[in-house]
Amino acid sequence: MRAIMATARMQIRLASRSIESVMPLLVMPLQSVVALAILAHSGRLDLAGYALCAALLLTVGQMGLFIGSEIVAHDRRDQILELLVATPTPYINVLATRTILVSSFGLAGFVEAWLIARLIFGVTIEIHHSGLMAIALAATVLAGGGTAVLTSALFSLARTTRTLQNATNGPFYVLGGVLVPVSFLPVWLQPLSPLIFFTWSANLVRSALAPEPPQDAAFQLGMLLALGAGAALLGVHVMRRMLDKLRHDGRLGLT
Amino acid sequence: MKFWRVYLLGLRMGMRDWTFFWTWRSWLGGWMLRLVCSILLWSLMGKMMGSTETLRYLLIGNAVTAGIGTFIVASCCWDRMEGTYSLLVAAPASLVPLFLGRPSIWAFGWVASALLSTALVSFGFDLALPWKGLAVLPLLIVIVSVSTFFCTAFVGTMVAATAPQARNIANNWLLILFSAICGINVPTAFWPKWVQIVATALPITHGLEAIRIVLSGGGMMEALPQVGLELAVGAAWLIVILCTLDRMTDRARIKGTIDFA
Repeated sequence: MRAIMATARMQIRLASRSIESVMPLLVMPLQSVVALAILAHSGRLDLAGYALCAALLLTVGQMGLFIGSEIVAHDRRDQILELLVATPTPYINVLATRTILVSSFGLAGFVEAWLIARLIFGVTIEIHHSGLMAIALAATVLAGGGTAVLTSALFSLARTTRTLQNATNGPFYVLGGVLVPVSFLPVWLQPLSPLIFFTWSANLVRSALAPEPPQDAAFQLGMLLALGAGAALLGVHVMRRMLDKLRHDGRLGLT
Repeated sequence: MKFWRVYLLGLRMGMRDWTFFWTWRSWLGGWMLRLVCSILLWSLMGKMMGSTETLRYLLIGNAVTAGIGTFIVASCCWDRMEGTYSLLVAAPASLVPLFLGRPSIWAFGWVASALLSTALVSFGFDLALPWKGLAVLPLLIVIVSVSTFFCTAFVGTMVAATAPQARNIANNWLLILFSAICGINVPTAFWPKWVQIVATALPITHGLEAIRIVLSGGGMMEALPQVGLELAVGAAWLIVILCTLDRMTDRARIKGTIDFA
């Protein structure tokens, strides 16, 4: 627990020192301006909750998949991976703490987008099922952090992390139906959506914003957490293999 | 002559930047995939709202501007970040051609991105775009890219001079601004008058209007006034760069604020 708290404190300090590490918080919620403008122009501000859901998931997603995914690559670049691996705390604990914490910062996107809707477009987006919303947000952060463990491990092997980030993020958001529900995707793409955690997350968030009673919330929550846990376990496996290989080859000090 | 020599040297550096980020395979499979996903993300809102007109408007707006404006602000800051800026200042040439040369590689990429995206979207959604419009589309996309390049390069040099650590944030803000008010997703007329005035001074606004005219069956003559305005906006941003960059550098020299990193 002490190691986790120390890791969290370190991550918060890192975030406060570098504006780049909080970039999604300053950028992604602004996408809701575009989405709300499209809706307002079509006279469909009744769908404003969809823009809010998109801004939230894009921010949590970008914090996890963009900032979180760079953690291992940056640790290697800064030559601190060796020091962290040499400590008695398993590196994976440090990594998971940091990815989950970074993802949780993304929740600020929800507040920012809500304020944009209120102040620029004069729309008050109501949360009809606040309990479900709280659970959905917590589960989204866990799934985002878990997925970032995997992407962080995989991306650290690439020549440039940004290249991979650019390539993978887009499909995640479209297939996950963060802005437009999956049912509006081309039919041949829809079978892939259940494999993306955003799909379940978006359904839960939209259900929490809708006045109707939520349908299948427990199942959707289970799927969201299962996908996050699955990705995290795979990430742990990849990370272990990578560290073992570096150790075996005697290249850990030279990464 | 010297201007072009320095520009070409900058462009060669830009080509190295480009190959650091992309191979042809990763550009086609990664970058283009990202752009197509971004086009889908916004355009499917038209389908969700049950309006084929909105769907078409969003598809055309997002496809013909796909990728335009990306990477440029960051690219303008790299010399400052890498510590080579002070050496370039010490060189006997103006900084303008170099600062236009290195980032301009991305503008070539924009043209390719926008053309390929338009082709993919046109086939994928069966947009049945008129051949007459498609024939002039490459030229119009080049004009929009050049105009956007001068505007974003100016912002890039400002960010490089003041806050290079915020380069990616500034680049993203610019892209969202273009996406919101330049007619990509909603007509500029949707916004209040003062926002429309800002949009008039920005690139893309007029060029995209010209593209919409030719892709909806209008002739090039009809689109010409908007093309002229787009060129004028681009020229104005170039003049701003020419007037400010060397002066800014000279002032920094006098103040002794040019550092190695």
